[in-house]
Amino acid sequence: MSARRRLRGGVQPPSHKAASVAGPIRDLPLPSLLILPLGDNHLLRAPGSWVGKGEPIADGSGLPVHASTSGFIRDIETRAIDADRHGPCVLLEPDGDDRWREPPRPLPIATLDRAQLLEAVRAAGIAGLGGGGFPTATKLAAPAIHTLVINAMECEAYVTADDALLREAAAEVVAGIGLAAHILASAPRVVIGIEDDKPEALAALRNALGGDDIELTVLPARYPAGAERLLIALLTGLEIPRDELPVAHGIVCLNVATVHALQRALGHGEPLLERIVTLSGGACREPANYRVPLGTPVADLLAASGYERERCASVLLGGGMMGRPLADLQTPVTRSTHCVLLLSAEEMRPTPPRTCIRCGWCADVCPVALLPQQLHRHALAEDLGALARHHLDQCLGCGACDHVCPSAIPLTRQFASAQAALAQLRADRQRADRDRDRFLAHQQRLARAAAERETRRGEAHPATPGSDLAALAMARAAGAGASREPLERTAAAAADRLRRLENQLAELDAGASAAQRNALQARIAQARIDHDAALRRLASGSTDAGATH
Amino acid sequence: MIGAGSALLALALLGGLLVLVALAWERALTDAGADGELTIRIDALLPQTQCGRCGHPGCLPYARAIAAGEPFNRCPPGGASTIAALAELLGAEPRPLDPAHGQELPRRVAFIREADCIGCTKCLPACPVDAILGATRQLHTVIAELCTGCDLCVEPCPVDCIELIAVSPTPPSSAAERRPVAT
Repeated sequence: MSARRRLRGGVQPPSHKAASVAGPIRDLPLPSLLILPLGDNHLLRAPGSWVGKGEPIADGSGLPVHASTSGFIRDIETRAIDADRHGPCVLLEPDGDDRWREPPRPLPIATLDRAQLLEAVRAAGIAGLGGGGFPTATKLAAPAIHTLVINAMECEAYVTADDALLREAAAEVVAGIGLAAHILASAPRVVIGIEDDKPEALAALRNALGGDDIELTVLPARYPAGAERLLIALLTGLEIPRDELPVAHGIVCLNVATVHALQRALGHGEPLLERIVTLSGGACREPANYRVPLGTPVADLLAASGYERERCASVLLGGGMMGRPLADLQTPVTRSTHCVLLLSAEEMRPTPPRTCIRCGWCADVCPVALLPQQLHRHALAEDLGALARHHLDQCLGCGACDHVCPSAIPLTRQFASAQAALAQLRADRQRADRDRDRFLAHQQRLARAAAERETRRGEAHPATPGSDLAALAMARAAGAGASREPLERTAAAAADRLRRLENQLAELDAGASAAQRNALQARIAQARIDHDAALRRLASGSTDAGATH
Repeated sequence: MIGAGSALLALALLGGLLVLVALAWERALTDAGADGELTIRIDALLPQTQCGRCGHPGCLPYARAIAAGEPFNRCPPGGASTIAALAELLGAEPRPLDPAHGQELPRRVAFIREADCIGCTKCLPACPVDAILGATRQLHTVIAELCTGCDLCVEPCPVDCIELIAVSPTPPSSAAERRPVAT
């Protein structure tokens, strides 16, 4: 029950955590409008229709979207979905009753097979609540998992949502861990990692674990030890490359809030409709944790806590280290929202950025052993090639380098835009390669079509206007000679037909009626005319051919 | 017997396909083989819009011309970044885009106004990357994902129903610009 490895680098910023966990988790009054990001889904119910709490209102290739409360679907609109992005959102107008469509019922977990359980997890809309937002069913569907890592670290400054959850619902979290292990079906070793700065949560967790066969590892509080790959390395000694997923190495890592949601979904039949959000910061009058329905606009959360615009220098979505300034307070709380910070002017970086003095502190604290000052230099020069060579892709964006930089250079921000530029460049190159291939194919197709046209024209007009008349005449003669054969065949067929009809007339017995005899004689007359005509054509064809020679 | 027959047939088909692929590959190789190493590296930096605004029928011909000494600042879709990359490759000083060949614009895609399209098919052969779908007297449409925004389909359209619309660039990072660091 002690730390096995030490985090490389890292920082210890002031945690500012005590204030928000002093009291219990609070409930938020229902907002007047919920904004639910649609993602890659289509709407299941028509705008205007009433939906019950917990009812799926959109589904598709993404995670299903549920009505967080009962109400009416108003519309789909493009809205801010986090600090940087906009996207289509379903607007749900709560009716205030908070009425379930069907009362939630626990699932018969023992009777369900693995596929059914995974589908239930997906249908409940469960995604990583630590901030990643990765669909949990996809993680749990991985085969041959040997270790289940439970992340209770919560190393970010100000954030106490998981701490509060463990204090109040450790038993449900432990039940959720059991469910996750059960769904994985490979009897994985279970390890919980928790930082030593939340003794109440640790005690509650220990108490709930009882004699369970689950390892609990207490790690010294050091940012960013809670980052998924870093925690896996700390607990198991396995370093997962940045371009690979932990599941490929037999490890699944889940946040405590995620396994809690798993227990609510399977053990109680409630889809993921709410999450715990820390509201804190120097400009926040009553720092606390709130149980917030998904889709609640940040503005409603602020209103509940007595938001004073003039005291607040910046609203951050996320924790003190990685939080991003929020321009639009109508941005909704989503599965990934664990914290909203109201920062006072004193908490903001006091000085404007100065030049890099190459002190190297950033390299000391970088948890993934990058050289931020080199990256900074190449980013200023916009040298994307050099940035790629210095493994810009590996940057977690944790902000440890920002924290220690004596020149107050916004390094992480710079790296994020350089990462975006690099990704854009790679996408452009890929697109250009595809366009080059398509252009080549287009040209080859045109050339092929032109060649085919040329061939067809050659067949239709063997003699082109430029050739001499003698050759033309000879060709016609050859054609006439060739055409004698069908004429002979026609004449022979006509003679044969005439002979058959004459035989029929001879064999006609005396009992046949006059009408029958007349009809047969008429057919014989016609056959004789045809036969004579065929003979004439045969004769004239020979004459024509003879004349041309 | 039937199984053996169909297996043989499949083998024969596969063989034929392989021969075709081999022929196409050989052709591609000989096509590329005609160009020098420099031309290929220049072509790799050009945006492959195939718009012809540089005065050449496609990016590869322009790459050949650059390799032969033509100025490298005549590609409006590539713009400043392509010019900078070419300057680095050629060991020359970057210069501004030659305005005689056009202006640098954000990425655009062609869009056919469906109400006006008469289904004449005249835009189909104009598209250098076959990104327009349509048939005689049927509504045509541009496959936006494949469109290079080259502009070449606009001119042949007799009813002027094709326009180029700007593709919204990747999300603006204006919010990121104001990121404070809380400690």
